[in-house]
Amino acid sequence: MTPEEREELLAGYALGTLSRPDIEAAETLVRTDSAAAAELHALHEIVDMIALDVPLRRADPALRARVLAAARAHARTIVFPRMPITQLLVGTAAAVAIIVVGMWATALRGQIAALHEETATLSALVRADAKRLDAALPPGAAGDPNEMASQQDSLAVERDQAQREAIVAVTLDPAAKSGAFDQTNASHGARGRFVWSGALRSGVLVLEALPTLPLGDVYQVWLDDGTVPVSGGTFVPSRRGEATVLIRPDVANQPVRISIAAARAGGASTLQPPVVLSAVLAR
Amino acid sequence: MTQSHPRGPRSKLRAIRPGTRVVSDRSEPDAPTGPAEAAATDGELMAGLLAEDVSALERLYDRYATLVFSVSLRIVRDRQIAEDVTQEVFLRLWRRPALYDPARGRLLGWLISVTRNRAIDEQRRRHRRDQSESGETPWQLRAEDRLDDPALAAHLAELRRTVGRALAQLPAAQREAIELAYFGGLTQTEIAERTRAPLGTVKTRVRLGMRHLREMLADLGVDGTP
Repeated sequence: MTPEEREELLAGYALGTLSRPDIEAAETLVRTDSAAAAELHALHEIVDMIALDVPLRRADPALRARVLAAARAHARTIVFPRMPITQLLVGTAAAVAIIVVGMWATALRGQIAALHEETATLSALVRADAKRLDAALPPGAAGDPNEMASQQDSLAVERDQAQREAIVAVTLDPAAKSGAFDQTNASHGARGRFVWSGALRSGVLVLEALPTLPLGDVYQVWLDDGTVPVSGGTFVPSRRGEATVLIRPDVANQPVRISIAAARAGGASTLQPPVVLSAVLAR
Repeated sequence: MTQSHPRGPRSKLRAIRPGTRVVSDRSEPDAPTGPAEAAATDGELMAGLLAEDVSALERLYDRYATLVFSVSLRIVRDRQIAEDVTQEVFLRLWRRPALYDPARGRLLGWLISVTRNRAIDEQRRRHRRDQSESGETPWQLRAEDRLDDPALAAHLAELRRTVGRALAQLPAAQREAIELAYFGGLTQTEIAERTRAPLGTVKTRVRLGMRHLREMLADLGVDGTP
């Protein structure tokens, strides 16, 4: 690579104007060459300042009120599985049922085989969760909706309803991507599958046999759009290492990878190894 | 595809500190009056966000919303979409304040980077490049008009003028290539198609443009050093 080619690569990378093969070449260069990394750092400084040249316009003053109202109304994080498991199972089962219908239509496009596999997996997991629930609940509790409802406040009900709807929406998306997580050296038998809706920027993870964590630790979902992994929230699996997780991360771009890693209570600010499970979403 | 990258510290933006004395000419509107000491730092306001203090978000919005909106509008060229992007950026900050790592640069740089990426994504998704922002300036005001930190306001104003002068001195083709990349989110291949120039020429323009910009900013006193 000539000095000019090197400079072109770094300048293009800093500006975000490279095509995928060149992006990979630039990232390799920066990883392996500290001088290139320093050069890129300086170029980023320049790129940041380009934005300051924009003609200044002020947004509608009403936007300020909308932003603040939305902030007051919005709960920041979604942590599973805190919702009552019966509601989660009902929602998941409904999603699975709808998936079956969706698969029929999708079969017309020649994709029925893959979706059948997905449905079978989800159904098996739901059945397993239902059996576990039956075993865990005291006699009569599962069939007493009034008693269950009395244990929840209205906010929890609303939240759970929204989460169920979100799970259904993700699984209904005909363009959603699904697949299995890849195991790593830290998986210790953990496995799982994911469904990711690019349109909704949301996903559902169904995980099994996650290793037991030290008391107080949690699992954290990370989504990587090719830049910096972004947290998708934390969750605590069941004692059997099972969890169904809805993720709605604030990612600027479509993620290309989903990772699961352990973290201290409250979650980490950056992805820390070891990664327990990892899945690649083809763009 | 929008490309964004892990970012190192943005030293120039990071270097803006409340209380910093900055020489400002009168071509920019006055910053609000009031003691600089009364203004909370970005760090203090971010701590407020972590404590779910909406008033902290309110002050950050007043501090940076105009610039965030302006960058977004410059990219998407649609007022409604630009407002949507602005709302999303600030709500993202509210919901996940930990996404911003102060060790990696100033909040303004992070906001600009997030805004740009989100706006480019939105622009590509909606294919509204043909819309123009011309005639949509009823709210045109200065960015610093509601800034509660006079020193920061003055510094930003000075920095804006400096960057504007540097960009204006670039050869037109180099500036066009940089602006199509930065604000248009185009790849070099797309820029080559748009400008009907060979890809190699576009690469050279980007390289030389960035080099010249860096040199000119250094000459104008913006050298990127912390």
